[in-house]
Amino acid sequence: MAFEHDCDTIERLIAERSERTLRPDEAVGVARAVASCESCKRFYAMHDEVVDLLPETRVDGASLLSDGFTDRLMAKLAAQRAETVPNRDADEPAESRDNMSGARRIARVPDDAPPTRTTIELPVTPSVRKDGPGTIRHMPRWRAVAAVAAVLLATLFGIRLLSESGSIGATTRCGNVMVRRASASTPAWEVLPDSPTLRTGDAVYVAADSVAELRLADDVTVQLADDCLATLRANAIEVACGTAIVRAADGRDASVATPFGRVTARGGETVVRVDRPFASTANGAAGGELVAWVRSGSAAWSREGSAAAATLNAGDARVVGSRGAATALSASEAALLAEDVERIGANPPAWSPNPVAALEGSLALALTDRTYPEAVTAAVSIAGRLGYADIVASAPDALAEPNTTYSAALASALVRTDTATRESRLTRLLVDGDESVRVVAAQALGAIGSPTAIDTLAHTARDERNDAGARLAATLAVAALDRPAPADAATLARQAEHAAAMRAIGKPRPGLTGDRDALAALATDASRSALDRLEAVAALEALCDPTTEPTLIRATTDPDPRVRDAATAALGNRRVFESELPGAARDALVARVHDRSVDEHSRRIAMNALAKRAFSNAELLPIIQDRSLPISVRAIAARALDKATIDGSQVDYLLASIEAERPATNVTPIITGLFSPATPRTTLLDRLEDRDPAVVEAAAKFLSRSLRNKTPWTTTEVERLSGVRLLASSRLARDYLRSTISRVAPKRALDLLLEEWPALEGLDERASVLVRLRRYEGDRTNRFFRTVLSSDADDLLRSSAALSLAMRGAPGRGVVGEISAIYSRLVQHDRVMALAATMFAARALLLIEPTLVVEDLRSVVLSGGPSAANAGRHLASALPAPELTRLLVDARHSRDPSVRYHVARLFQDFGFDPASAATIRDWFHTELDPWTRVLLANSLSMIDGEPLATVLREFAASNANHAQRKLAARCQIELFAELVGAAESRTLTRQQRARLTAALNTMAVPGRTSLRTHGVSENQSAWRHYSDVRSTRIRLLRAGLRSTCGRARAAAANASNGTPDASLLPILIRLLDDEASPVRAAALGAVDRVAPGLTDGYDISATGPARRAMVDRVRDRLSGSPSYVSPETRAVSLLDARK
Amino acid sequence: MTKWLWAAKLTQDEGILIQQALAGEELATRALVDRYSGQLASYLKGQTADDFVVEDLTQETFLRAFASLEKFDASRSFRGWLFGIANHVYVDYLRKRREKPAQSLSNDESLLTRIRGGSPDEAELDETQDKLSCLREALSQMNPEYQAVISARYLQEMPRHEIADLLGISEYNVKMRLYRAKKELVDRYERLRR
Repeated sequence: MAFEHDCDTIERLIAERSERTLRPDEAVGVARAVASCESCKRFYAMHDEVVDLLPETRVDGASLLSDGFTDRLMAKLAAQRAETVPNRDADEPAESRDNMSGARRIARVPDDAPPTRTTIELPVTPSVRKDGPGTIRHMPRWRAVAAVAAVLLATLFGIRLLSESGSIGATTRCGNVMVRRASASTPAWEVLPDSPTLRTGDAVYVAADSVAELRLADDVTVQLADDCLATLRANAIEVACGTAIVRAADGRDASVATPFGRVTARGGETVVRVDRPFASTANGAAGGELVAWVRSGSAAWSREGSAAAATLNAGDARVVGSRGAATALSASEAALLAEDVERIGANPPAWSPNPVAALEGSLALALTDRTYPEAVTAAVSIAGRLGYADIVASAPDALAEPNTTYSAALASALVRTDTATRESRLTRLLVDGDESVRVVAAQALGAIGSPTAIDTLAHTARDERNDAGARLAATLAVAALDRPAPADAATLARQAEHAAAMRAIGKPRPGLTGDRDALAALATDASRSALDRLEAVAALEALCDPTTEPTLIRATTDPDPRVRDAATAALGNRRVFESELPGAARDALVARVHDRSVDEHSRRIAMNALAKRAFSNAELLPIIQDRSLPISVRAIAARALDKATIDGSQVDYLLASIEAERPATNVTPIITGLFSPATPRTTLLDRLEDRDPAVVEAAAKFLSRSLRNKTPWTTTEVERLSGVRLLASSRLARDYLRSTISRVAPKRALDLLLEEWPALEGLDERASVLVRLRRYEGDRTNRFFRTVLSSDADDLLRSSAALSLAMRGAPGRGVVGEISAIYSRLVQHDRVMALAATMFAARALLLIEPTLVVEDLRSVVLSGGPSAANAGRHLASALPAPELTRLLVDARHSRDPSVRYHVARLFQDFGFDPASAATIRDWFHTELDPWTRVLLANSLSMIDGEPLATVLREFAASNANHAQRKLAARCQIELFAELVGAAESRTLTRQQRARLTAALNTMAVPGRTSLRTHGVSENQSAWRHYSDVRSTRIRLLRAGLRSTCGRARAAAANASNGTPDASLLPILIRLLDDEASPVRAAALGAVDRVAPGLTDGYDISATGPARRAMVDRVRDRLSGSPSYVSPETRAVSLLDARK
Repeated sequence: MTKWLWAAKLTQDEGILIQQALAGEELATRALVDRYSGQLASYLKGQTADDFVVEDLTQETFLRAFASLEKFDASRSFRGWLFGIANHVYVDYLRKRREKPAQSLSNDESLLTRIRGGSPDEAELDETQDKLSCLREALSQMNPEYQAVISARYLQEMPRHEIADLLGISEYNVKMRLYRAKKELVDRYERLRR
């Protein structure tokens, strides 16, 4: 029989086989094509031959190079360097750098090394970035916004202090600046007041997003930034960490004392940057470094107790390590430093003591210079968020190039600011904007919600001169406000050019009626384009209305295959059609499955739809046995059957018929594997020797699945598996086989793993085997791990072995030294701990000698990045609660939302010190990221006496801002879903679950009314959340009603009373016959609430057969009362009764 | 091999060597040359059959690389960066060769073997050697883009993301280019084998 396929696709899949594992359906397609098509078969053979041969063509590169190649090259390189670096003194050796793992890491040189002269020219004034103020091209929009915000904030905050004898007075303040008074009886950090007077000895802390300028004398100023901690002294300023930019008049000196020595600036401008001493080196010395850069004038660096000193002229930049003298910066490091200084705002356009004026000036500047759309968009967005009406008013209606993002930002900003022209401008956007802008503008006008805005929307909707899309957007916006729709949305959707409009009306919206009929007409209107019909079908599906079924059935015969497929798939949507498949729909789908004129993909869709709609076994079996059907279609039917309950004779019959199907042998394992409980093991073992690696892989996979088969494995079978595992060409297949052996013959598996270890070549496979060996406790594996650790194997394997030993608490002598050495070497280059080897080593040390790694892991968590979450989990599992709290205090100030999220997650998962509840609550109130807020609230709920709902309500009430109220409402909904999920989770302890349940009881699921009160009625996603929450709650209740614990059943039944739902009726009725009387009482109340009168005559005190008879009567009454429940529920109830 | 394993292998001590080479340390420069000269020559051999040309291109690649070492981004793979330079060097070489087409074929053994046809050596070749000879020839007939991607994937065993870095294209494009390259290679190989 000819097999229709696309040779190009098959060839692509064949080529991809060597790159990835094909999916089962792809493997089936390839197998069939190779079996039936000569061209594909030839390509298959040639491809494999070429891929096998390619490594053979590899030559030893070193042998290609003649003797002395390296020497000649080195001579040429030396000559090349001499040409390009003419300024270097011939007698001065190149600066030695013994440790530089990253762009910002600087050399450490011995204390006795002489100061060396810089050899790299640095710009005296950093060049202005070409791509606008603080934005980088091609960056995501939110980053552009964040970047502009950072620049604006940097120019915003500042302090001007006046020098007086013995004290320093400040004329104004703003920003995140803290001070700790030396004169206070109890020194504590406080926010700098508006008119501060600072004295010698006071410490100042300037947060990462702020800049403070101190005027130490009339002609000396110091600008502090970048998380800076400084102390005022009589004749200097001590900077513990952060950046200080010192500006002194000509002839004046200004000293900055740092942990790495003193920098004395002589006139001009000098930048001093001191790292935070997060990390500690192996010998316990503080890490970090000092960078000094003289932009103008000169400076000197010296260190007490050391002869090392350096003189820096304009343009020089030096760095001092924790124990080293000054060495020069590379050009790239200098460029980074210059960027930092520029970011701090060393040269703000105009210094202003009024921060609002400074910010407004910066925003206005960004709007005037419209060269960079991202910057203009960000400025408009910020101005809108901060409510700068004048600036928003001055923003242009459109940029030179049409920019949808800008228009959307402008519309959003106009909503937030009360300008006289905002409604007229939004109306212009509504009428003239493109599809997405129109929708935004309409929603914006709706959000304003003023009578004039609604009139404008209504007028726009009614005005037939306007574009149909604009009218439709206006109509939907009015309808969303629960007002009568000004125009017929369905008619407008038909007129609108864009098909997406139809999808819009498919969404359930209050105030719109008649959409279903309009969509039904559209879906079957042959005069419309196929795309329109497709959208209409999608919209009908989105309506979730079972009465649309006839239309969808008609659409399955649409001339366009896409429409047919969409309609077919919609018929299988369980959310739409909860009821049993009626005859017409079933006939349509069965016809599609058997229709030879359509392609295999479409038939698969039809089969999927059939399988989803409760297709009975009796109807599935003939499809599986029908060899004329594509194998993939039969596989779907088989999978559906696999989920169903079938008896042994049916399985035997099926397997026999499938086995008889040769020569399609290559696909047999795929089908047979679906019947995992009864897969014929011999067949699969035979497949392991197949030439096709895909078949071997599939067979290995299904063998591991077939373990559910209780028949014990014979020794012969185990040996057969052992024999093929190393021969299997696919790594995945070998893994499956190892897994199978370790489950069916654990003792033999250990022997095999240890035996095969020396023969394994791939690092990843060795690592995987090493992990597998962890399951086998005992001296034998301990000895093996120690051997690997002390061998010269890859660091990954050694650190993995060390971790294994540490996890067993059997590190043994010398292991700490070995693993410390590995860790020190690895972490030198992998400070973010992104590599598995480093993380393994860190975890091992954490278990054996935590003090060596805790600080490193902590800095990884606080720096964000790929390993932060992982490092945090390891750290949290090892740290006591007070230490975790210390982490929290640092993390809440992080500018990186992902850092805050990860740390909040740690507290949720690992618990924290109850004494820090106040901190968490504060953090909760200031946190902007909703998911982090959810985690924090969840953590709060773990502490007794912290009623979560109260916290949320307080939050919702305390913020007048519309957006924040909305956030609070959404938080509440998301939080509820999260809590329900957590309460169901078995990973929590019983006590934690009990607390969560208590927290849940204090929360009421926000109803539609409260949602609307919170201002989220226009938000479609809120409705989705609502339904999700409700379904989750029902799920939880159902689980509780079926609990084996009587108290839980009673509690769940009581809770069902508060959440009446007909789908719970069958279970509640069953509980009327419960042995525990409290359960019966609770169930009785719940049933009465859902279906009053159903339990008439039921006596709660009855026992035995009498009670069962009463319950049967209740059931009978239910099944004969269609008004109570759906047919499905009645059916479930009847089934229940039979059981 | 997974990304992190590649990263683990390649970043070992590399950062130190690069920074020391930047500072003019001869030993570090030599260590980098020793580490990568063989791989580089092997990579270039996948694109040109002439051993002398391979050596010249290897040398030129290193000269260019060390001249612009400061531009190297530490977050990228050094090997990928180096091979990227080798690609440019090879393309420049091809351009120059087109301008001066008179080339000696004396060193192109596989091509000579094919041209000679019934040479006595051929009789001694076993089946595998003959296949390899055809495959090398098929490779040499392909355009440089395809040669580069095949060489990187199958001779240097680079992961896709590193090839993407090397060729300056997305991982998806690497996948598609690899497929097209293999398809062309299979076609050419098949024709030569007939």
